[in-house]
Amino acid sequence: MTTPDLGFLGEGPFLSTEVLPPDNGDPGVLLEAASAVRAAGAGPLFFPDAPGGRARVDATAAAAAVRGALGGPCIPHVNTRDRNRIALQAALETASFLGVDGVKAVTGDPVPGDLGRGVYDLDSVGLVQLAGRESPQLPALVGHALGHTDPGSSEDRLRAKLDAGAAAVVTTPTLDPDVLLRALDRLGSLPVPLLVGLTLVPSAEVLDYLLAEAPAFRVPPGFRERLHGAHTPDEAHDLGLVAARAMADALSGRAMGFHVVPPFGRWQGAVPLLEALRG
Amino acid sequence: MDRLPKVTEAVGASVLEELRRSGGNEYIVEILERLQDENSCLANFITHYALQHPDPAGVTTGALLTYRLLESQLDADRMKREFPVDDDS
Repeated sequence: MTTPDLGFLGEGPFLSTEVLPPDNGDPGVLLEAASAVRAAGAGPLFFPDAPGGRARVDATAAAAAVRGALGGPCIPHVNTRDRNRIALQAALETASFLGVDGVKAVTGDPVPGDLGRGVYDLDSVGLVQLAGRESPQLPALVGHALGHTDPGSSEDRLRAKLDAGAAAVVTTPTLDPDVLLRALDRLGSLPVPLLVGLTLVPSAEVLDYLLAEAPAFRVPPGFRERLHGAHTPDEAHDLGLVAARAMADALSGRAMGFHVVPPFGRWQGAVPLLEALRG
Repeated sequence: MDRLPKVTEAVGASVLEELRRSGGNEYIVEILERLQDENSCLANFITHYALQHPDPAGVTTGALLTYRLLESQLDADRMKREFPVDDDS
């Protein structure tokens, strides 16, 4: 079995983030976003693949365009929701052909309402296995909601991704380091690099919704009360920065990098967090 | 364009908590001030019709809370797209 080369990630620690491909054909919007987050300290850039089931410029094409213009590691997401097995194989071959640095294999959230139907010939584990067979030089990273409210099944699922050949793990954002550290302790040492996901929560109302609906999103004790007590949006923003910084400090010995997920998918929201983490 | 969202209990309870914490008036005034900046036509509409009602404060509060509930839910739904339901999305 060929082991994918992850040298493009460097030695770490590093910051990465996501750049949402545009929903129109204007490459200037994409390059402006990529340039801004790189200037704020991001190294590897990830490109979400039709998040929320909304059509956008192909993530691999966007990643290749940014890599060509700016250089540096560029990794598109490839979801299994929108492609059958043949199209997934083609997507992997296209990623190799266009010279992106890897792919992040994602299953993809269900398509909302009347936008279409999901395919799901494979899930993310199947896609990682397919990449290992058909495109062994192409690293297939995975996302994972570590610290899930159902840790047993979540951690079994992560082990399946690792067994399938995942080259690195990017956790979905959370702000409670203790939950993540406990999960990592249960898993033992990971055989692949870990990128810890972070984000900024824009308001107390959004926080309460995420705590109710996103099963792996946790906050440290007292954070919710402090956010509800914030008198201004700036104060709430600063509380979020402090929490993310504390999370990064607590995980610094375990993570190879920190992955900033921009609030609302807007790169402008990632910049202050990248700058705060860069120190 | 997104349709108006369906407000969830989590967001409803959170908005209510914000209202109670501020003692009510401060929270409502903040929303109104922001609305006047961001959506002045809507703000004028609310204040104009509230003043024609016997309980203008009640009408204004109801209208602004409705606005805040929809706004918060819209933010929450957009934010949750970054937090996949599936644990590997």
